[in-house]
Amino acid sequence: MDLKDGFASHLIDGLFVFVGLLSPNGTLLEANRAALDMAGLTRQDVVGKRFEDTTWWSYSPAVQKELREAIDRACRGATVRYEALIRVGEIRFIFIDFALAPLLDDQGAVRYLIASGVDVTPRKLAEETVQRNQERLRHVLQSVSEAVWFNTEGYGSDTEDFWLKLTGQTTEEIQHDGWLDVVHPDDKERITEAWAKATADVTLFDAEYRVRAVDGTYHWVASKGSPLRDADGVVREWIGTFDDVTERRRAEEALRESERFLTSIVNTTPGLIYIYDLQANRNVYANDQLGSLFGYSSDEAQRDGFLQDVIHPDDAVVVQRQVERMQQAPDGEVLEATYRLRHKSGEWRWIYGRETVFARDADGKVVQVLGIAEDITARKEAEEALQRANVLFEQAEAASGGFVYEWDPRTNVVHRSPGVKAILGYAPDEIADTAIAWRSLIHPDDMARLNQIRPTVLANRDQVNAEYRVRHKDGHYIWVWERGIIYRNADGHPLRVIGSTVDITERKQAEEAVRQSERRFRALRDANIIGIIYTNFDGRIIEANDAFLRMLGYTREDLHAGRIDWRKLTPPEWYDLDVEALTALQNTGRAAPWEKEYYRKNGSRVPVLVGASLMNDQTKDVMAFILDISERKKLEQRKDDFIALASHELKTPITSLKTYTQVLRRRFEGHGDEGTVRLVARMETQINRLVEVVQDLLDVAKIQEGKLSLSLKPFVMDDLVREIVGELQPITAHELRAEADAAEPVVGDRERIRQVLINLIFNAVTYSPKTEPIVVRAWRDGEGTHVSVIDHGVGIPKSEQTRIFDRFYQMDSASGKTYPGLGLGLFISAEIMKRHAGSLTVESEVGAGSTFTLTLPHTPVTQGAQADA
Amino acid sequence: MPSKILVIDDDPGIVDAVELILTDEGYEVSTGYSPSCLDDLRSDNLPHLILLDYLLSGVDGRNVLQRLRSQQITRDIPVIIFSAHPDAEQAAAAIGANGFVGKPFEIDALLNTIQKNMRLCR
Repeated sequence: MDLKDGFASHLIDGLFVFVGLLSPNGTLLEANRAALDMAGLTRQDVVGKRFEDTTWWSYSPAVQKELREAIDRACRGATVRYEALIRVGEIRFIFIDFALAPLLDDQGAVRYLIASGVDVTPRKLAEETVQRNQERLRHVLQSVSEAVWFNTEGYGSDTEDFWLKLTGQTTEEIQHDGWLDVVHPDDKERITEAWAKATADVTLFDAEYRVRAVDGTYHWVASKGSPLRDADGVVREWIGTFDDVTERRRAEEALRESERFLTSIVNTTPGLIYIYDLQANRNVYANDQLGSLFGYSSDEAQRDGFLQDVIHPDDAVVVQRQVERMQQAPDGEVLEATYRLRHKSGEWRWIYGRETVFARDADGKVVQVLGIAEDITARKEAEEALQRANVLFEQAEAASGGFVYEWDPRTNVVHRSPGVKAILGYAPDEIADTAIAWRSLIHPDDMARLNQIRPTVLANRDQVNAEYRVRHKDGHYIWVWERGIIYRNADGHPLRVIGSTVDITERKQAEEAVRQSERRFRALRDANIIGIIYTNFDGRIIEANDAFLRMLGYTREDLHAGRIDWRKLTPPEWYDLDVEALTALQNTGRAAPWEKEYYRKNGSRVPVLVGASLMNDQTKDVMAFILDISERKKLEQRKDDFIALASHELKTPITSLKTYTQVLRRRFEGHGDEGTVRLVARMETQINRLVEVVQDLLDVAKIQEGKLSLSLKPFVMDDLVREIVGELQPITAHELRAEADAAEPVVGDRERIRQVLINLIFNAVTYSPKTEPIVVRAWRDGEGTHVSVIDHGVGIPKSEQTRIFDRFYQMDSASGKTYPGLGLGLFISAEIMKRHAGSLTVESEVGAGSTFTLTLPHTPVTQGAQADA
Repeated sequence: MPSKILVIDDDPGIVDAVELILTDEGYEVSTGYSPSCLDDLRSDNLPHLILLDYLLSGVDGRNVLQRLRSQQITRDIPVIIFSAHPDAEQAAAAIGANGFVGKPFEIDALLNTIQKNMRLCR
């Protein structure tokens, strides 16, 4: 390094010229003393740094840039020279005549760059005072703008650079309005005029316009210019700045867009947005909705007293309270109010307003309120309609015996209507509003079933439909029927289920009753203890159970082949009874059970008891129950046989005894042995009593079986009465008086009537201890023929008079005296009279005697007898 | 010649007692304890009247009567049923007996019935 050592080095150091040695890449390799001293620097401060980063140049990017370009040009072999301003102290600058020249090596390549500068500050300062101002302005402008331009005829180097880079236009191209070529056509005229105006008026030039960049896009450029005057006041040149304001313009445009957007939002919000000033008591802002919602203009709304004019009188207090609350409200709190405002048309509109604090004064007092108001008139009307609907709904709900619910399956929240209390005893708030709470009330047996189907229903079905038991508050279970509609979102997920639940306990009980009844009927049918058939009036048997088929010896094949017809099954003598039963079925729907016979398949007969009921009026379906009564019939036969046998077995020895006794009496009478005859007669009396007792017992047995049969024939009552009195008088001490006044023939069983009268006379004798006379009186009236047996004996107490006709009744007497007999006489007598469709009655007074009267009605048989006559 | 009466009853006491009475009354009485005695009847020893118990130990009086009515020589002999059976009176009328006397009976009633039917017969 020649410069670095020895003479050369000292020479350079000694020069007042600032000299520096740079590598081709711009690094400062050496600087002379003058350069260092001028700026108060040491070698270490600058050597080894990039030249533009050294203190001299580093104060301004523009200066650095200028230097860098100079270095580049020098590297390409040019010698660059320009007047530069360098920093030589904290706030001290000097102008230098700066030159940068390449130092070539043997091959002609740039080896070093020689920088040199001569301080020209004094000259510069002396040159022009104005120039200084220009320079000062220029530097100020440089620090804030991207480029500075001068205009006399040409442009400053800064400008050329800026312009070149931006537009690709060279300095030459710029000349003579050439720069206008790259200005946006829309801006060209405006800019030309503005410039012409500025130069003509000598005023500030200030314009923004678009220029076409190298890449073809347009950039916004802000250009400001100011005329520079000489000391004599003549405008010598213009100085101005260029700034690429594309980004700013873009940001401004975005902001404007954003504002337009917000404004459109504010104005298109369905609500009225307003700012109300509490101190001025008026609106200070309202969006466009004011007009569309209420018909007022923004001006109208902002005048004083507007709110007071349009508020509904009834709601003024609401608004007043809202104002008071807003005055106390903390920031961020939203307060709501509902009130009515008058539309410009005069209609009242319901308003739902939400307000928040918008501005406070210095003391923190609320000054302005920001509010959003919605017209909820339609909603209110809907609410009112809903309320009316709710009333209807509640009435319907009360009538239906159920409640309505809304269930959100995602949250499991369920809302239930009040009707839940009517069916479950719980008020809606007594059951948690969850599905779980409801499930806890469901009968465990049903829950298992419901749990099983629920996932499928929720996943696939449109509806919920289930019957199950739920526990009432009282602890018992009721049956409910739940039906619901499942609403789903687009993905098919259930959003909510709306449904109703009604009490169907009664229906379930009825169903259960029907089921039980059917079970019982099936049990009855399947038990096959009784024959059951479905049939119709035509005789065809549609269905029959096994018992019926077995009873008659038919098979199911016979039945299905239609071979069984109850008409053909019935022997002819039973037709009449069947017709009666069918008539009853037609008229009353049922036929009282009747006994009949059916033919078996083999031709034999089976006695049956049949009961029938009409099942269907239209189809005349009849269900009949058929009971095989063969066994009963056999049993009855055996019983009859037994009675006959017992009767025979008892009577046979008595008959022998009695016959012998009579033979004895007749023989003793023949021998005139009166004493023995009396003894034998008493014996005979006792035998006769024995006969009577046996006869009575047999009669009772027959009565109980309903088999007391009568042999009805015409006879004359007077004759019977006289005959009996004549027969009995000899064997009693009582006087028997016959008062016969019934000479017309009557129809009856003479022997049985005789039995009754003898029985009554014997009783009269027995209960007349003082042998008072006994009257037997016969007479006729419209009712029939009567016979009274009248005694004047002990009489019968009223309390006993109904019981004396009971079986085995015996009268107790006050004296303790007992009377003979089994107590069957009056029972049998009364039964005999009943069988004649007549009666046996008593009138009696204790101590005065009794009157028993039998009545035999005029019977159809009597009329028949007259017809025969 | 005394009238001849055949008494058939399975109870020896009754047969004996009735025989006593009827003999005392002057009738010629033959007796039997079962319907088989009818087998002995021939045209030369026919009774004028038969007194027949309705329920002869298992043999229904109805059959006996039918048998008598079916044979030439016995067809016109009056038959009086006498029985302790409760329904015997209706049964007797139904099967065409000439008379009925219930057991036990009054002797006079029996004799009246016999005499009435004897007359009827002649």
